[in-house]
Amino acid sequence: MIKGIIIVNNSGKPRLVKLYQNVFGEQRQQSVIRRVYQQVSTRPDSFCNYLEGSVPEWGENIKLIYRHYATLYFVFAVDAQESDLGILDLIQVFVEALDKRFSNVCELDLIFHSDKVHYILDEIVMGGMVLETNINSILQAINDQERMHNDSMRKAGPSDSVDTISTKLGAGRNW
Amino acid sequence: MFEKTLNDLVTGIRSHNRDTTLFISNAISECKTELKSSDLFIKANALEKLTFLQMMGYTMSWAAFSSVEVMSSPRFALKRVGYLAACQGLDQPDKSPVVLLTTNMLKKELRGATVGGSGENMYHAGLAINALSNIVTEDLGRELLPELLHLLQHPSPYVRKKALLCLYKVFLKYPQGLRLSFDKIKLCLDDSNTSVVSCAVNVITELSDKNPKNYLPLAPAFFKLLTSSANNWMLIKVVKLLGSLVPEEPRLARKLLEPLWNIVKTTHAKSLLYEAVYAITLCLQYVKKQDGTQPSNIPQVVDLCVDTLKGFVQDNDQNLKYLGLVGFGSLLTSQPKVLHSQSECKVLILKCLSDEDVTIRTRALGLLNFMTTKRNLVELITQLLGHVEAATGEYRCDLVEEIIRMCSSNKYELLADFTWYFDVLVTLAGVRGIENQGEVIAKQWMDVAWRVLPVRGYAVKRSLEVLLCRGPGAAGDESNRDGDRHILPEILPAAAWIVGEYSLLLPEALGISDGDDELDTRYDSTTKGAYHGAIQSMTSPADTAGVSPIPSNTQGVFVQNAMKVFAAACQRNIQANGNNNISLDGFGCSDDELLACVSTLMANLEIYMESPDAEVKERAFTSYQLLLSLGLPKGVSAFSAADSIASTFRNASPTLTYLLIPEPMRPISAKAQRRKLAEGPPSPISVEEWDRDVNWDALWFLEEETPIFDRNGNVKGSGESVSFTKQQTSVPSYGGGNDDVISGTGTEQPSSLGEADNILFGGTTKSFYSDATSGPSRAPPSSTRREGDPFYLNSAPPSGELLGTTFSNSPEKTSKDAADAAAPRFGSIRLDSGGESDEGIGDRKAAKKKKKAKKNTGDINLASLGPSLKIDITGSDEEDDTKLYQPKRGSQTNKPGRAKEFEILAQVDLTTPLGEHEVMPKNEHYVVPDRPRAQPEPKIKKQKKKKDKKKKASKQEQPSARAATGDLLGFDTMAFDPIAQSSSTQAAAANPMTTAAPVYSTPAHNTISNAFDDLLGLEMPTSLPTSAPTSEQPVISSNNQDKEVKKAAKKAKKLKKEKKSKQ
Repeated sequence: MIKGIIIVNNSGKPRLVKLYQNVFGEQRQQSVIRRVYQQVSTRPDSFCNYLEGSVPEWGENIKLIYRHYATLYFVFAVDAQESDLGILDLIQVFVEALDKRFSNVCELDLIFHSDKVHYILDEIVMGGMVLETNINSILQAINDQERMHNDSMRKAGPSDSVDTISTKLGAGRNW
Repeated sequence: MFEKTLNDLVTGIRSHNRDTTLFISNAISECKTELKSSDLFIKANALEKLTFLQMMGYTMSWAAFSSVEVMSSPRFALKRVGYLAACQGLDQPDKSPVVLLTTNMLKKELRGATVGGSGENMYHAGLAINALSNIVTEDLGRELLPELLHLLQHPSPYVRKKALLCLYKVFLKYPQGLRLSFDKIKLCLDDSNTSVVSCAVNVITELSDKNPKNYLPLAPAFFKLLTSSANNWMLIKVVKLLGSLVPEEPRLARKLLEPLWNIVKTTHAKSLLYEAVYAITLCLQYVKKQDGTQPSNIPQVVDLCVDTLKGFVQDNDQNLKYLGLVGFGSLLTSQPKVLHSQSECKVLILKCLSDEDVTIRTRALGLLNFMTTKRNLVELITQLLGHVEAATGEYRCDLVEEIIRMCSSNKYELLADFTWYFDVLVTLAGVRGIENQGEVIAKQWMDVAWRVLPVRGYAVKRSLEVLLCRGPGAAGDESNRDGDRHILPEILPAAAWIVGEYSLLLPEALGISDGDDELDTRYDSTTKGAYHGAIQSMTSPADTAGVSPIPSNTQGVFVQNAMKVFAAACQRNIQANGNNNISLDGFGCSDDELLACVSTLMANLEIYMESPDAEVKERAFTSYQLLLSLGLPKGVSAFSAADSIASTFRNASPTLTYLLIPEPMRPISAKAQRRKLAEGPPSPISVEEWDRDVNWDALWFLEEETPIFDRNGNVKGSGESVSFTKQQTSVPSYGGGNDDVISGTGTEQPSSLGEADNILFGGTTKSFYSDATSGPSRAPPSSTRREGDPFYLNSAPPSGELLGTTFSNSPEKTSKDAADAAAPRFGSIRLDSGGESDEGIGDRKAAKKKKKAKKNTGDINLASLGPSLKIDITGSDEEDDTKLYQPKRGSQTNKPGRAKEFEILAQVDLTTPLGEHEVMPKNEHYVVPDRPRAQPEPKIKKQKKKKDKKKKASKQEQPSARAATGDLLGFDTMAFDPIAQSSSTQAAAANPMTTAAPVYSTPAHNTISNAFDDLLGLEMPTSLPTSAPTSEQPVISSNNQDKEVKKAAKKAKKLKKEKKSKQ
């Protein structure tokens, strides 16, 4: 199971935090991020991408598998049930999806569209398990939902109050 | 609209580099006002910002309700924001009351996916499923499980796979659901869409990690997938899953070899290749057939593994190199000898030790254990020592640990030359930055010194050197000394103990020349000789080498051992005098030196007597008083007459020797002690018998009147009834491992009696009684007895040469005749009642007690001082085959420690078929039975009370014994509800409603949630299920049913107890 996915930049600022095994409380979460960053950032790129680090919040035998792209570390914390090389490929898929969605993704995209990054990740990993690895299926789901997102914003102007919409639409869905 | 958008917020944070926190707290308070707005757009906008801030560590749990509001928006865009905010912000859904509000909303979304059919519905459902996977609680799980299962047949694979994965999360919180729905998950293995199959495999892999037994019946299905599928992602998971099933069903291992072999041969994907090889290595541990034979193709399979893994290690890609080493680690657990013939692999792995990547180095280090043989040990360790120099941090500790493990594993199986090993230990003791290994090194240090007789003298020499190097050094001789030589503090007591305990070997030790310069025994410029130097180094309160202050327990050991050295010095002095001052070979101890020793001792003991530490103080005081009682005039100084002092101490020498260094200690294994305990108390020994053997001459100073001894040295009172064995029950028993061999540095302290009990003095020892009379020419102990003793180890020839040449009293060249008589005793434990003086044992404890007896006038049980206790447990040392170091990495292959949250899920048993009572929970409208009330009011009230009782009982039991409650609760309802009785489905349907009534009634009556339901157009149940059964229920209060209720409650309690005790 994937325990958590963290993207941090070179100076330790989190850019995406998704924890699948609950880490209660923001303070704890921040300490997890710090710890992960400390362990990852000391390793030059020539080192292997596996780190048998320790993150007490997730228990024993957690492996950090990460990739370093320019200014960002993509870190996946996984247990023994995940394939080591598979997760590396998965990170690649994730980055490709980001790249397709933002066209030439860079750290700024992640900063300003942190919500969208979440939406993309949700199409790849769900609840700590790999949902889809086929980049085309992923992109289709992302694009479809992006279209729906924009449509839904357009259908009623911001002037329409919510109540009118919900009366207009009855059950509130299927539109 | 003037609210900041997320973009503005991010820009703002970036531009307010200096006062970010201020900016953010402003932003948060803005968000708070925005959330009060009635416009969902504004709310969603605020939530977006808060979600971003949550990532930076600002809590947003207070905005949970708003996120639920926004979730309910019909607009996809807003809904997404709401869901995301809920997923990220609600980090403890179980404790949040808001989660309950989402139940109906999520249910509607999940149902919507099936009702409609337009493409977009599935994304709405997808959002809801995703949110559910993040915020699922037990109640949510129970409520939504039917909907999720229904979605497994959804036409769109997108929904199917999401629902599948979400099921796992539901099971984590609502484990009963697993039994109810596992059949449907199984069906998904045959799904037409590979992603869905892959997700099913994923879920089952996770489930089987918790409890593999449940999934063994699925092995054939996975086997089929393994041979037929072409999707690498899924194959990896299948391989992983099958690998984890192998330990449960060893027969599977042989079956798997062939398909895995095919995968290794054919696949091009490195990831799959690796997983397949790794799975093979797991299988290899279990391929043995029941008759002990192995399938004939095993050697080829092993070769294939070695070849593939070698390829990985050789690869330039660091990741593959790492994985190759991990794979080797797994392979070697089943085939430990495989590397012995693979010299190429050995070279590769050794090369990895100098890799710059510490992860790789650590992995390679773990393999060394399997590569060492008797022949290459020295070479390997020498290499490793080189690495220790270069290593840093934790890796350095790992290296040291590994070196010690390699040398000492299996009772020094691979080690031939202990002198060399001792040198290695000395080197390690000087390494900085391995503080946590100090204790281990100290243990080895002592273990080697007392178990390997041939190197004992050498150990004394090196230990003395370590002690002396802490001194300021002889004046003008600074160049020789390594002023800042680092010594691990844990080593000091060990070294001091060796020097003290084996101080009789000092002359021999100093005679050893190992090619280096003669050992400089000078502690400082005033040092008179080797004995004096040792005493100085051990009692000097000010430490010039920087290990200051010395820890108090080290001080205690120092004081005690300084006294031992002093006793040895006295004896040596006698030897010199006995030989008419003809200088002995090696080092003598002149009167001058003796005097210097005394004055140093007296001066320094006085300082130690003021120690705040009770242990140090007591030892210093005892030693000081002992010296005084032996006739030393107070205020001795360097100018006193050396002759008179020396002669005083020559006279006292037997006493000192008897008290302080009677005989080298031998550890006794815990097992032997237990066995002795089982033998029961020995037959009482008469005091006379014991009395006969005591050399009262040596205890002349005790002959003054004491409460125990009268003037003639006769004992007042009787000690018939003392049992030595019973005393040992109070001995703190050491845990397994070599710990029962005297551990660390504390146990050699005779004054801590509890521990001293643990140390019994073996039968190989010389007797004090004969010593006292015969002086220097005492009868040496038998050595042949030692030869058959597995406790002692032999060292390589180099140290053998030392034997007997330099040390006239060397035990090794002593007569062997006495041994024959004693030989049959091996492996047996008995109490030797003293016997011939040659065999008598000076029990240090007894001696100590005697001293105490003199001091304290309390009524000490006399016989405990008495007969020497002899225990021979040499045989059992072997049985107690304990290893100092358990291979650390080996244990990693075990199941990872299960987190608490998985425990309940692990208890779910899928092997038994579903019972009738186990039905999917359903929410149906409770139809009030249309029946006239047959009973008068008061009875209803009574009934209510009983119901309440029952509710309590079942509620209590809920959290712990969920898995087992299904039937019980259903049964409850049935007993009460005639309608439910008629159909079991209904019974179960009513079950959650009635049992969890307090919980459910809250949201049902909640005005807010009602408002939501109105808003969302959700139909509410016309009659509230909770109120219905209690008030409107026809009352059937026959005695029978009352009994049933009680029974149920009892059962519930019982179950709870059982669960508790299990946990």
